[in-house]
Amino acid sequence: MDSLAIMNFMLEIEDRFDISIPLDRAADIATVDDLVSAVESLVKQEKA
Amino acid sequence: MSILAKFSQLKQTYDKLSSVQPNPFAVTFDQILSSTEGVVEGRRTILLGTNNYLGLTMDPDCIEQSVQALRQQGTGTTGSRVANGSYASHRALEQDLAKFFKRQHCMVFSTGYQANLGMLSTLVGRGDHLILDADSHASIYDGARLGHAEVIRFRHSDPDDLYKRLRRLKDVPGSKLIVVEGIYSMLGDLAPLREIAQVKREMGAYLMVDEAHSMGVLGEHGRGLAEAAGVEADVDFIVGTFSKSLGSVGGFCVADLEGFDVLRVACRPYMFTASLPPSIIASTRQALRRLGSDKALRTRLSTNAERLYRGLRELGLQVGPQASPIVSVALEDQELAVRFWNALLQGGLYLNLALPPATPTNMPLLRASISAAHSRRQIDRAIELFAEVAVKLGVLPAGVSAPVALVA
Ligand SMILES: Cc1ncc(COP(=O)(O)O)c(C=O)c1O
Repeated sequence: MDSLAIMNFMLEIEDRFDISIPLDRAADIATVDDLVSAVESLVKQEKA
Repeated sequence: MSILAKFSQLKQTYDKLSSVQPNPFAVTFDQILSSTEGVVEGRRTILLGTNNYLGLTMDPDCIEQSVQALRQQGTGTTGSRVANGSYASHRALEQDLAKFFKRQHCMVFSTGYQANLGMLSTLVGRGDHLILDADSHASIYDGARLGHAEVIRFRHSDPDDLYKRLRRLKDVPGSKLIVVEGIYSMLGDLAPLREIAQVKREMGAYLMVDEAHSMGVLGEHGRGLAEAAGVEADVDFIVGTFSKSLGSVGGFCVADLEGFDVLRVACRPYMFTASLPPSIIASTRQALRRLGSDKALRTRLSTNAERLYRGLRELGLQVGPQASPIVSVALEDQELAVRFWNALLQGGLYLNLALPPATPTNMPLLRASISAAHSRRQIDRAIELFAEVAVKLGVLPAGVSAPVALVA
């Protein structure tokens, strides 16, 4: 994926889960597992 | 392995692009004949990619002021304002800018890039939130990276998306700073600032507008998009540059915020770099006077911009969403864009070639920036050349040409 595709993908994920993924967190995401755990923790934070 | 090995892919792309002649990343102007004309490889060339919106780089009064300051005060300040002292003219320029924008405070930086770097890394800190338009200029992203605030993005020029993101932050502590640009530098589109200001008011945040491409271009008095949209009261910080409509180099931030001056001793890109030379300050002050008093410049600029935008659109080329002094033509692929750009240059027209990922839509762009100093004939010649090259390269069907009325 090129950088524009990645950005749009992240924006989609953010919409879908109603979260905002901060850029420094996004930079740490390399694998699908990373993405899942980042989304999970942000969703939990949002509900708290 | 070389320390540069990580750039091998970039180098490949770069080598491929620069194998064409002339190399789009190494254009040299052998002579500058005026603010709209130069000599490239022995050819007289129309300059349509300089951001010289008001054509003031060659203004005789600006040059005269600059020369006088150079003779009286020398070539450089050789130090930072904080460690080595300010010249009186630094202060005077800050006062001029504050007055022009009807604000209390102003800080001048050595470039616009540094103004963004400085303000964004300092205004917000750990525990604060920076909310950036996704298509922000590199200097905004870099300022965000230099600081310690949490950085999130909203969809380009989408006030509803901005609203959603601020709503998620509603009960989160920390200051929130929204950053947008007046005119976006790649496609020339304007931020929906009225709507963004309304979201800002409703949700409680600070708002910064980078008027790099809109100062001297938009607004009754040339104060930029905030003035044109009638929302100056909602804009807490305006940053800008001297390198475009003011024809020199440098950057600034103006604000009404109580206690603003403390930033002078907190903001590292302000403190740890040499201040602008007095000759630059002098021409910038003169350019600002001209910008403020000569409304005809702005009228001429928008007439020229409208003419180029309409001309290219009517040819059938894919231009941006609205007419502004930045007019970009999107092309299908990189190779075509490079050939197109080259043919224009061979024909005596210089503009910018912008390639993904620097472009917002992943399409390569031929980016023109228009000046008040362009003559109607230069604009028409540019449209004519675009038509010729587009037909030759198969971008437009045979038989398309600039309307006769335009060329007359
Ligand atoms: C939106 C925007 N902000 C800031 C800058 C930086 O300006 P300067 O050339 O003064 O560093 C630019 C231009 O490059 C720009 O387009």
